[in-house]
Amino acid sequence: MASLLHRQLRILPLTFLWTHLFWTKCYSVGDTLGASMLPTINVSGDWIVISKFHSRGRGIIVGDLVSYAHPIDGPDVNVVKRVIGLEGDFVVKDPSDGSGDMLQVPKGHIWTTGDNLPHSLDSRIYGPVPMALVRGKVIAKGLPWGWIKNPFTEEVNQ
Amino acid sequence: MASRTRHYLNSIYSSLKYTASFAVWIPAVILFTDNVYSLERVTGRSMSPNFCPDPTRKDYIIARHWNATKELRRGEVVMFRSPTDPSRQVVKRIIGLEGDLIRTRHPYPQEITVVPRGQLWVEGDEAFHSLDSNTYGPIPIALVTGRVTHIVYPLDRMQRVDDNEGLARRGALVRKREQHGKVGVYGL
Repeated sequence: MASLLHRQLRILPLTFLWTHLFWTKCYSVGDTLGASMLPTINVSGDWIVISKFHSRGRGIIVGDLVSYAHPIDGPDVNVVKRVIGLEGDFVVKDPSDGSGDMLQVPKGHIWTTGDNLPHSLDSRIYGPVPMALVRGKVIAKGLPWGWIKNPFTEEVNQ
Repeated sequence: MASRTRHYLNSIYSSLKYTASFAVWIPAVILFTDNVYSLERVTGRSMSPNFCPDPTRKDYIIARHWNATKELRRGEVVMFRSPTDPSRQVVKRIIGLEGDLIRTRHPYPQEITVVPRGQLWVEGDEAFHSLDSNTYGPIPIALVTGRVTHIVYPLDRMQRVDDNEGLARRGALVRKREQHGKVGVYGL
């Protein structure tokens, strides 16, 4: 009888621990705010699913949506942007200023911008982002549900 | 014969059950080493003579991950993910906080630079064998994963690691950030 009670009590911390492990190392869900990713993600009320198997930029390719800790505002601010260039790629600094200046993305970094260029603070402002800041890849959004697709490798019908 | 097989299966089952009773607590260990304290190995010459004075031997340190990015001070030894190689973690000393004026060393393009908002200037203690901010520039605070609190092995150098501004490269910090001064974002 005592051991049965013991076993029952063990379930609580174990459930918490395994859920926490799943949340930090496998998948997590979060909400988003802001106009920078229109029309992919809405200004408010959209939920996203983040795959932690791509944390620290593992297996990220150009066109993926990533969530990363903000390089200027600190670790408590997370942003979602699209990957434009990987390390070694040449990217246009700012497509909207018309100058066409290019730069090479340094080793271990990615170049990111929002989908809604006029309303996005991204690599155009703070430069290339270290891949180590990437928390994960955005694989889906909720309400309404939809998989986030890479426009370079998958067919997107919107 | 059958009973012997059953006996074997029973003993395998009970030993598996015994192992599993420990394995279910693995997430607790990961939670602790990710967020509270962890034991780490340091190699390389960049922090000698304070870490790894003998380059052929490795140092073992304790890193504190609790509030790792809160209230960082100059002279503190921190562990962070390398901006150039996300799979590696490196140990360096904080030289400058946001807004500080830094006199840089050779590979850096400008002689004097200001640390941008939300970033740190980090350097190794051994200036000539260190890949640090002089190579890759200031690093975002979000890269910091922990503070180094103790050296635990080798035993003869077992000690606490305190923040020590005096160990920074001489003349590296030109001027501290002015009180209440605004710090800009110096991106591109």
